[in-house]
Formats: sequence, structure tokens, C-alpha cells
Amino acid sequence: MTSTSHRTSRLGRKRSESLVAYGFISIPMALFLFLSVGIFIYAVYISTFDWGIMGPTKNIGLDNYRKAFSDPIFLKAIRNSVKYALLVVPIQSAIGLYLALLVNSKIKGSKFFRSAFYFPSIASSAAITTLFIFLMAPDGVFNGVLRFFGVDTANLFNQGAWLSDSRTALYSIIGLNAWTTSGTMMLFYLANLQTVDSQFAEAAVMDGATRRQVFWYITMPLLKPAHLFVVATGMIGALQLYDQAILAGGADGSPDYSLMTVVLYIYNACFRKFEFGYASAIGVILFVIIFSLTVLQKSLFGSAAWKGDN
Amino acid sequence: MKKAPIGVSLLALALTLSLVPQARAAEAVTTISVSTWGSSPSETSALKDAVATFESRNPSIKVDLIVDNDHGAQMAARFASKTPNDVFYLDAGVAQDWAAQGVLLDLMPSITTAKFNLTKFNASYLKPFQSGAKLFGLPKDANPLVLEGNKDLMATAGITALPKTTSQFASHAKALLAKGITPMCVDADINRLGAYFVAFGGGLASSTNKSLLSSATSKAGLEWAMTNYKSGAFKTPAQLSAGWAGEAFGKAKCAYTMEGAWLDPYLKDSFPDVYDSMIKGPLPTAKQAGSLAFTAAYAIGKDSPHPKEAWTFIEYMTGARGMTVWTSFGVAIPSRSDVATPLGYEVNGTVAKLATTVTTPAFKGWGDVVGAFNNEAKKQIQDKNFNVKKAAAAIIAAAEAAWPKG
Repeated sequence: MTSTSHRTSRLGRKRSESLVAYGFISIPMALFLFLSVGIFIYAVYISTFDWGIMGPTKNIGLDNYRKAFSDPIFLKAIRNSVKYALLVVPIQSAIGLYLALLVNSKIKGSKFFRSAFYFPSIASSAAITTLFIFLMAPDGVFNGVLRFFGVDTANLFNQGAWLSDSRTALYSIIGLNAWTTSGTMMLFYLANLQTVDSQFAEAAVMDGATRRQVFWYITMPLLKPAHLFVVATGMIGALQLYDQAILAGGADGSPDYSLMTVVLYIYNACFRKFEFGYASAIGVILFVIIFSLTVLQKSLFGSAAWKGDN
Repeated sequence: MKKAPIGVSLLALALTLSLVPQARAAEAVTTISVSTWGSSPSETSALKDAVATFESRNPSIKVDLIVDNDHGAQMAARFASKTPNDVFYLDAGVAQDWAAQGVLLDLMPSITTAKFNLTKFNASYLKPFQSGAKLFGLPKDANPLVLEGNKDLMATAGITALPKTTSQFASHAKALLAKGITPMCVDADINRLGAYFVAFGGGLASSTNKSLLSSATSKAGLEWAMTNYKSGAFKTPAQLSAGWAGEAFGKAKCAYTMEGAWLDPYLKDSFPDVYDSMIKGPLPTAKQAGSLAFTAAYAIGKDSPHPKEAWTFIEYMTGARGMTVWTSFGVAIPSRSDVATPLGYEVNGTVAKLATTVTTPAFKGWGDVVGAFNNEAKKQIQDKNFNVKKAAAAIIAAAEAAWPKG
């Protein structure tokens, strides 16, 4: 009798704990369903309309999607965004991993270096891009260094205006963002590195493994969860490049639309042309691209990484 | 029914009467919001002063002045949420796009009721805001491009006066380049280079908004400009490490530039020495004198909460008195013929009145043409060894491909 009532009260407590847990979950879940899923479904709905500032005028089916894929500027925006993501993500991940390994080792002042390397990530991207525009100007520091080494910058790309030459503008922004985001990537790798059991590496060293072998065959595989997280978040962020592009290339992403990105294109469609239906269609296309790439990354890095299973 | 004593009744009446005027005054004051953009602190300060004169003449209307950072985007958000400002700046370049969205209030009924005289406005400044019999904005001012020169840099190359013709400009450029001075800073932008289309006898668009870019005369103007980029006589602000041509001019990185009256307060604020040595004149002529002029209007939204008070504001600011006050600060040139050009802006005023000074086209989709022209122009000049004729042809082709069909 006593044990039965004890079991009943335990079950009751479990149920009430579950209810409290669901209560807590329900608030963010409701927000997620409304602000993310709901808004996305609404965007899909809007994308099938000719929708201006005053609301919808008529349902046009998939015309907005057809218009997008026949617009050379939009196709260029996709190419630019994908090229940017494919280049910046590996660079920022590699730098982030290198910095994480550096500050994880027992070197003097590692705490200072952690803060120093992370600093660009917390600075305002607008401020840092403005600074970068000065650095990359024809009479900026970057060209000054090149001139010091005897490079004739006046005859280089657009007379040394790196951000105003269609051949170098996007690569310059890749350089900027690889620097500013690598600090965040370093933190992700560092968090994973500090959970890795050092016994694996120690055992390998005892078996005669070199430092390179330890890195490639022990550390790298054990960092799989961090790789997935870094690449997935990096890719999502990279495909949404906007602020640096508009600051350096203006709303037209000039020259030659070299800094036109998908999000900048959405901004133009929405706020300069008031084509809300068309802008929503582009947003849906961007979602499909990001979602597909994330699923692809998950399959590339394997389910072990997804589950955080070392 | 018991009667109230006469003394009490009179006291109550006196109290009530004493309160009525106050209550009326409190009710009658309406605050309208006016949304603008500001190109410099001087311009914003001048606008505040002009608004203060309006408020002093219209004590029943208070103005809440809002200077937007990104006027187009912020107005779009306000239109979409049906909370536009009572009055707002309307750029000629976007007027037709906004009108097509149905967000602007037609001012013609107010103009007719108030017997507001439209004939005092230069017709070309009204055109961007007209759509059939409707008028969606009244031009608050105008601003033609003129040539500004830095006397000190010019003197270094032995030049004492601004070039009057394109051939004079060529000889000035040679002398300046020999001294290592960049002759002219001008962006590869249709809103600047288009002035040379006009100077060579061409233009940007016909009265029916058909492209004039590929006419022989317009092409000649563009080829002349491209020749200058190739020789180094023209440089873009980016090539001179500046954000815009006015900044390059202010930093004495070029002897000449071509801007409007907005340059003056900017230089006065940021580069007073260069401002003191600045001289102004019309743009160099080729076949004819001419320039491009820009205008913006005051407009009211369809959903603006106080259209009556908003019209009172516009009527004053675009009337002879209000425009005299506003332009007296030297930020812009009057768009009305009955308002005198402010002192120090005689050149701007003379250029504004030229029959060959044309306003930039204003039709739905003009922004795409500007984007296509500028993107291609900047691409063409990035390599010093470009072919002038091929580059000009590519720029015109890109702009015409973006020209709205029909």
C-alpha cells in the first residue's frame, strides 16, 4: 500500500514536471511557429501575388519565380553569393580552427589572445567595413604596403581602388569577412576542443604518432560536431551577405553588379521597387538554397557529427 | 425646481467663458510630421530655420521634422503599415514608381481650392510629379550641375579662369596633368555624365520617355567623357580615395568637379579653405550650353493623418515666401520664377534657367536604367587600356537593355 502510493506520487510528480517543461517549451515553440514557420508560409503565399505597398493586386501563380530566373542580375546575385560562401566558409573555418588550436595550447597569454582574436567579431560590421574601405582605398594602408614592396599600384586594378573593380571587389569582401568572422569560428572550435579527451592524443603519441598524424587522425575526426556547426552556420551567414556589400558597392552592388548579393537584391526589390511579392519569391528561393546546402552538409559530415557523438 | 442664485450663475458663466478660448487653442494645435533626407548638417539646419518661419506664421500647426537615414526604405515601411508622414520629400527619380503604387495624394484638388498658381514653376520641374491630370508633389527647389574649380590648384598650372568649352577643358587638363594634378573628379554616373550628352546636343530621354542614349550626339558626349577617363583627365571618387566627388574636391585631390548647390554648405562645413578658393561657372560647352538639373518635391501620403494641415505646410514652403526663406540659406536654387536666386549662387541660378538644362528623366523603371548604366560604366573604366568607342557602346547597350519596354 505504501509502495503503491509512493509510486503514484512519483508518477504524479513526473507528470507535473513534464507539464511544467512543456509549459516552458510552449512559449518559444509558439514564437518559433509564428515568427519563423508562420512567416515563411506567409512569404510563400505573398510570392504568388503581384504585391505592392498597398497589398496584393492579383494572383500571378509562379510568375515571380519565372521572372527571377530570367533576370540576369538575380542570376549574378546568386552566383556572387554562392561564390562568396564557397570561398569564405573554408577560409574562416580554417583560420578559426588554427586560432582555436593556438589558444588551446598552453602558451603564455592565451586568454589575451582569445579576446584579441574574438574582438573583430563583436565590432559593428558597418564600422569595420567603413574602416576596411579606407584601408583598401588607392591611398590606403594596403596599397601603401604594396608600394613599399615595389608594386605599381597606380596600374593595378582600377588604379588601386580594390573595392571599385569588378575583378577584386568580392574577393576583398571575402578577405574582410574571413578576418572578422574567424574569431567566432575559433570560439566554436575551442568549445569542442575543450571537451575532447586528451587521452586519445596521448595514447597515439605513445604509439609513435607524429604531431601531424595526431592532428589529422585524432583531433580532426573528434572535431566533427564543430566542423558541421561551423560550416553550417558559416554557410547560412555567408549566403545572407548584405551590409558589407551595400556599404562597399552601393545598392546597385557596383561595379558590374560584382557586389550584388541575393539579400541586397531582395532589399532593392522590396524597398526601391516596392515589389513585395517578387522580393518574397527571392526570399523563398534563398531559403531553398540554404536549406538544401544544410542538408547536404549534414549528409557529408555524417549523423555522428549531427548528434555530437565523438 | 430650485433656482440658483444669480451670483453663482454669473460666476459659473465667467469661469466657463474663461476656459473656452484655452480649450479651443489647445484643441486647435495640430502636429504634423515631415520626413526628409539631409545631405549635410547645414542643409538640415537651414530646413529647421525655414520650418520655424512656417510655425511662426501658422501657430496652429507644429512641425515634427524627421531626418531619415534611408528615406526610401523608411518611407516604404511607413506606406506599407499605412502610417506615412503627413508631408515628405519626394525625389523626382522615384516619383512615378511611388505614384504607381497608389500611395501618394493627388494635390490638384487642394491646388484648385487654394487657387495656388502653378505657372510660377518651371514646367520641367513639375513634370516628374505629374501623372495625367494629377500632380503628386510640388517642387521644393531645383539644383543644376555646375562646374566648380579650385583657384589655387588651377593657378599651379597657370590657369586663371574656368574652361568654357570642351576644347578649353582639354588644354586645361593637359596643363594640370603636367603638374601632377587630377583635372576633374566626376563619378561614372549617368546623373553626371548625362550633362555631356546634353552639351553635345543629345539628351537622356525624349518627352515621351524614349531613350536618346544611342543618338549620335549623346554617344559623342559619352565618348568625350570616356576619352577623359582614359587620359586621366577624369577620375572617379573611388580612384581618388573619396566617397564622392565633393569630398575629393574638398580634399584638393582635383582641380574641378561638377556638382550642385549642395556642395557649398558641405565645403563650408568640412573644407572651409577650399570653399574660399572655389569659383563656379557653367559646364564646358561643346555644341551648346546645358546641364542636368535635379529636383525634389513635398508630397502628402494617401494615408497621411492630417492632409489639410499638410497642404498648408506645402503651400507655404513651395510658395514664393517660403521658398525665398528656404533658398536664402544657399542649399538649393528656387524652382519658382518669382523667387530670386540667393546671393553667391548666381551661376547656379543662370544654369537653372537655361532652356537646355534638362531635369533627369522620371518614369517607372528609370532607377533600373541608372543602375545598368553606372554598373557598366564603372566596369568599363576599371581597366586603363579600354577602347573608348567599344566602352561607350557597351554602356549605352546596357542602359538601353534596362530601359522599360513599351
